[in-house]
Amino acid sequence: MKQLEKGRISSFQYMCMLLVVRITATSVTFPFMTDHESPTDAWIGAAIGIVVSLVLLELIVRFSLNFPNMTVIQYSQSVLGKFLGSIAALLLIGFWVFDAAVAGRAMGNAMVNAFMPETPVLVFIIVTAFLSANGARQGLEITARWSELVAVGVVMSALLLALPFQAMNFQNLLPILPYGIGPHLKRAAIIVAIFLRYSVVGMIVPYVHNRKEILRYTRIAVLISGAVLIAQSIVLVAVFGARATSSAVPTLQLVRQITIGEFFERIEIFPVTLWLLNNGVNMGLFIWASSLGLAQLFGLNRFEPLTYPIGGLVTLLSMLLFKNYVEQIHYLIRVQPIFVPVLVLGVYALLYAGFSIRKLVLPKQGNLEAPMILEAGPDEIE
Amino acid sequence: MLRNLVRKIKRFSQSERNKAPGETRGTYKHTPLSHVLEVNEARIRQAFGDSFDLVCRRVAIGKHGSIAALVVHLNEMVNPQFVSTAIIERIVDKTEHLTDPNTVYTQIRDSYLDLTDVAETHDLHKVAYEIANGNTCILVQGVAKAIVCQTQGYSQREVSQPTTESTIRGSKEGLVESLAVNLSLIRRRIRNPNLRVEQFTIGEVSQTPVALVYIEGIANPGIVAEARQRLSRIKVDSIQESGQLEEFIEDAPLSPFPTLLRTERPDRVTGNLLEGRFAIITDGSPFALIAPATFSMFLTAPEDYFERFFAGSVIRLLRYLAFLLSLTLPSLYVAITTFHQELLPTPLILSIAAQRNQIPFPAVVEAILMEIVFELLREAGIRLPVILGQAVSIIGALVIGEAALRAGLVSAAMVVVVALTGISSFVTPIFSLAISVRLLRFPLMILASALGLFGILAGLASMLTHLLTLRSFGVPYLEPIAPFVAGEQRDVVFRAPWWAMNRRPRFVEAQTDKRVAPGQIPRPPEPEQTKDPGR
Repeated sequence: MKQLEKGRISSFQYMCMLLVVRITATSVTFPFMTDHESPTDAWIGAAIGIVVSLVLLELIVRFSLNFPNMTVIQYSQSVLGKFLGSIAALLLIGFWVFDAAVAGRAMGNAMVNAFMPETPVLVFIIVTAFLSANGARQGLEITARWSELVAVGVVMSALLLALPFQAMNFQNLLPILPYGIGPHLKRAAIIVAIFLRYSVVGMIVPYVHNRKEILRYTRIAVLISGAVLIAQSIVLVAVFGARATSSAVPTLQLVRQITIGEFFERIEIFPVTLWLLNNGVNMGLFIWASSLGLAQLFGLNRFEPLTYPIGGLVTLLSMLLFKNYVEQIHYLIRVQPIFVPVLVLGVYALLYAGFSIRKLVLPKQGNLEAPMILEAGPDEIE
Repeated sequence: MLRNLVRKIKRFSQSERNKAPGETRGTYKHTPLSHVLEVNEARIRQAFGDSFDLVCRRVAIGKHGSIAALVVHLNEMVNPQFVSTAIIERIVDKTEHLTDPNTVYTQIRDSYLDLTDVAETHDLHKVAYEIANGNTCILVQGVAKAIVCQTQGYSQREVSQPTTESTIRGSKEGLVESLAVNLSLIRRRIRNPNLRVEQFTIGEVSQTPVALVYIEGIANPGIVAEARQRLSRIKVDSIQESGQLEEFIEDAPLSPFPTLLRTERPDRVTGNLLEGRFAIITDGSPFALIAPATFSMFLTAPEDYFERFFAGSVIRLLRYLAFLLSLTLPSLYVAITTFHQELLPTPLILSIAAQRNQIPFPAVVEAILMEIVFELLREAGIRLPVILGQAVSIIGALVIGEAALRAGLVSAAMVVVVALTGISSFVTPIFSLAISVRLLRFPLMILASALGLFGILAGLASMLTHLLTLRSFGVPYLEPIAPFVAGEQRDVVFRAPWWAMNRRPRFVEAQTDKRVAPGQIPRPPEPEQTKDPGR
């Protein structure tokens, strides 16, 4: 089989990519808080979501490690056969393109709302999609190095959350579980949906240098980003109280409150810069994954020429998906928590079912259609 | 598109390459020397087209001067006194008892010459090229061979202070145009037989000697082999400066960023050799090339290592800041005055707005105008005869600064911005990086005028993507930062003290990577060991 992507990344870079993917979803917009009941104890929902995601991701990554040298697109066909496998692969690719578009639109809207109200949102999306596609075109290694640069910065900028400590009032956190556990389960669903964007690891795993560390670094990534999320939800409530639910971009508002001395006002420029870069890298990763996936699915010789068209598709989709900001928020809060888990978990469940059936039936017949099962030695799985 | 262009250029250059790599001195055909001295002399004269500086000195040697010999050299390429005392005098004196030309020849070759470097050849063209190289050839009647004596003695510049990389502390010696002197400057700093010097002759016409220098056992053999291969496949008529060589061997020929470090300082060369890099020294150029070069090397000055490490680290941090300022300051000014006035404190933005009120141009035009004027001044300052230097400073200070302000052509804030940018760009220790920054500033200004800070960010992001794809001889250009190597952070933005810098960079692979023995932090002597506890 032709090697389309020649890059190799370290497991640390792998972790940084996961951090970038996760933090993008809650940096500018914060769907987890906006328009929810029971904001005061939001961290409970976050904690539930993180635990569930940890379990689900453990399963997904372990399953991917059964095929250490294949991407999810490649093994979907050998597991499910040509027809079903192609459908599963296309669903995943479609989801990645779709998700890049959602992220791009969220970023564009935030830029227009917060900084440059006179510029059309399309400008920001086109520029970001072009740069991301350009980055994706250079291969996984470049995206990985970008993630390293950006992830470190984002985790550091999360420290900014501690700066408005004078405005914090921890009494705001107090009524715990005033509405029961119900709202928190809804929240947890959002968190799970966000973490399920990690379905993209199916594309990355075969290119990680040290596969034995993948599981460990996945867990670390989930825990770090989970910690940031919990801190975010606690700080937001401590500063804004119940008002936190009414803002579409609460984190941005929070950072805007920070002034250092009398002179350094509006230092939100630094976290916002980082978030923008973060978003670009995230889009780049998804564009890379879908280009490579498509190339592998249709047996192309190179994936690089696909990146710009997919970047264009992302731009187009991001404009067409939502008529306005309200629809976007509606998607993030009401649609996403059902749509994403059904799609991703459905595809992976299908793959797993196919895999188990093959494992039960095929080795006895010695079928050569599934050679990859033999490749997975016991030492490859932790 | 660019990529296709590069591929086409590459394919073109490959189809042109018809000779086997490694053979650089391939232009002359093999022509054997004749036994008859007159024929040889005529052919050599013909080879040089009777140039007036070719000296063909007939000497009568042997018993009673019975054997004719010919001493040939170029007048101004050799040390004439050396030729007369070490060659002519000796071959006349010593051969007085001999009659057989062959014996005379072998005796001269083996024992009579008062020289350290003597070679022999059968080939007429080799003789001609050796003469052109400043060597002296001795031919004897009846022998179809020539003795080549190393007698180079042309004028060269004295070793002096490096003009483009000056330091306060550290060696004051700079490389010069002579390869031999440069090698001696390097050898003197690393007195170790493992310091390897490989010679290449590059340039079909100019026959320029080029040396590849590295330390065996420290440098990565793969990288050195790659350098060797790239050097030996160059086919060009001449190499006058290492900059030309650089364009033939760099990894990214279309990048605005340099992927080979050029330096004028022998201590920088040796420091990098010790980190496992190699150096390429070109005869006729005082600039050595060092690779694999990473981005942080371009913002490193030798003093960082010689001054105390706190000072070194802080100054280096300052240099990174200056690099960023020189790249983005004018575009930041454009973006903030055009789009993001709210980012500045109100009094400041009011004062800027008041000044800008009278300026006829939009901020971006003003900025580009002033930057071009500044670039003009800078270029004029370099090209100007030294005597006229004052004129430029008067024009610069009075006309551009004062008069343009008074006339309301530019705002005072803009002048400050341009001056600050200029100063910052002079901070970059390696000029080749400063040049690329100068060029990249302009597209950033245009982006800033169109999209504000977002435009600057987009420009910087695409620049960073490009930097991340760059490699220098296989080593990622941003190596210790991305890909992140935790152990190497001690010599990037901060410089760790010498007793803690115990490892060489990662690309030195599996070779000796311990530099400093552990546990050498200096400590005061223990109290009970001091002889005079009362003090």
